[in-house]
Amino acid sequence: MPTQDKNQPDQKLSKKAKKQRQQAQWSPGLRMLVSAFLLFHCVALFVAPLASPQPSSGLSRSVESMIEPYLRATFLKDHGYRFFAPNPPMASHLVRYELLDAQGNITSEGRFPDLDQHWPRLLYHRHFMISESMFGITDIPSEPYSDSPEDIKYHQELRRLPDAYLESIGSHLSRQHDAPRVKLYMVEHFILSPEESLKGDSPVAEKLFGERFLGEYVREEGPANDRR
Amino acid sequence: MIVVDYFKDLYHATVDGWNRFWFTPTDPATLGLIRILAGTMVFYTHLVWSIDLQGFFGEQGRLSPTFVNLIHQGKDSAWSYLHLVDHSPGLLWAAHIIALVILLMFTVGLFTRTTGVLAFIICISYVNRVPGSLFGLDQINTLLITYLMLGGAGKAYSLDRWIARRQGKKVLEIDKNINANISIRLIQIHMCIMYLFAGLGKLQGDTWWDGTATWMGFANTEYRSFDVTWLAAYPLVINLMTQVSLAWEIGYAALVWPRWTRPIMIAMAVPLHLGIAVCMGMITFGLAMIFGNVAFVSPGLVRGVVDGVIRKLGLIEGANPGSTKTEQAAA
Repeated sequence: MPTQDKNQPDQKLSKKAKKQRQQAQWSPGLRMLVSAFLLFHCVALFVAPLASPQPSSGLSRSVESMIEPYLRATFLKDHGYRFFAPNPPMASHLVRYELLDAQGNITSEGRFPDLDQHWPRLLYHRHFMISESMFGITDIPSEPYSDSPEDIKYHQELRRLPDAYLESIGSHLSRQHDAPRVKLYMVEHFILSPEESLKGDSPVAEKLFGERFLGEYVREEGPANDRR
Repeated sequence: MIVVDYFKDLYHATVDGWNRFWFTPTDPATLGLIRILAGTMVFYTHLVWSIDLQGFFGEQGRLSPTFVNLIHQGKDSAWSYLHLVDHSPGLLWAAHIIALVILLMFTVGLFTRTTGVLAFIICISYVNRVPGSLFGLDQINTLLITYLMLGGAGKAYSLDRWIARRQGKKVLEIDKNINANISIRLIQIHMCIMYLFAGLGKLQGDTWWDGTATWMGFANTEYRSFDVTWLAAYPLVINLMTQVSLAWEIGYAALVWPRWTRPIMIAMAVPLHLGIAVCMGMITFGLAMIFGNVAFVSPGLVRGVVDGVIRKLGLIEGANPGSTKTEQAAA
């Protein structure tokens, strides 16, 4: 900002340091320009996590939509920084898949993430995040968050995501394993309570697992056309 | 008149404070150290993508361009140059290898100005191409690279300076500059915002109030890499760990600024993030968060430690051979 800099150079500084400091000063015009950008950026830093995830105010979402291109371009959109919030997950989510031949017989199966297969840990975590994000996307509420047109439109867009995700993962597995059909299941692995753990219960006991069918991908035989 | 004087004083104090906060030249030692740490992490992150590059980034990979486009709601602002090359394995690999070389150059501080901007472009392109497989590590990596790009990161502990010295160019021992200060300030502010929302978000959850949240992390077999479920016998310890970490996150944005509380807050960041790293198997994320906290370490302290190590190892001839006491005080 263009103002008189009241910071007097420290008398104790060496001549060299004083010279360095003088050379490093920016002109008022440049400072004003940079200040405007810094102010804008700091507002953007606050607005992004205020607006997402929901619940969030109409005000924060309006401001967010105004600066959305900037947020997306700088990878600030939709983060929220809610690490393990509001609660850490009560269950992990894994994807189990069955590979089938054209007649529908299971030829093989697998799952991701898989600690035995995915190494180093960072690669395992990438696969883990895909299964977790599949859970998030395929678990979208059936109704919009509110009756506002904005929320209804957002909800309609969200509802298209599960099919696209299943198609994307299914077609990849189909190509990777040369399987004409792939069935996908979401596995929920619940964690033990401290009491159960103290009793000596196994953290991988069958009772801690639940499963639901996500969908089936069927490869269309012929020239590179896939369908679900 | 009192009211007018009040607003006049308020205006001048705000403007002076703003200028002092953002536009005071600073020693780039801290930023140089963050460049090496964060650059190494970003390089490693991208190196790991190499194991299954086609599976993640190929046109026929897990995350098809159609799905990614839908996630980004068709917005062009979620840009990625990888869309231009993902149809061809050869091109994708070429682009990936070039990206790794650039990230490595940035880490060691070679052509830092240019490679800093390129590293930003690389990071954003990668994260925007694989939205389903991201987590906190990608956020902190991108945060640090974004601010390191702004300049000043190559003015300490870099090959650029070493080469300039070898070529006989005049190189200031401590090249204080405003760019470095702005970068550091932005990292500091962004870290505060991140912790603030992480803490406030947890206040909505029962398990952070009843003190059992950390158990959820320890007992989760998909996350954990180190079994600490024996802590179930010590519920009060679990409560304490949960609530201290919550209090630390919420208090960080306020308590990391005062001189007296800053060392405590930064010191607490280390066990907290190392705990996440070791117990929850997120070593990369835990370390990257610690690297972000380095922004609050004074350049004088960084020089004291890093210069000592460099001289001891004899790595770089005459590398920043200390500064005068007054210069260190100014830093």
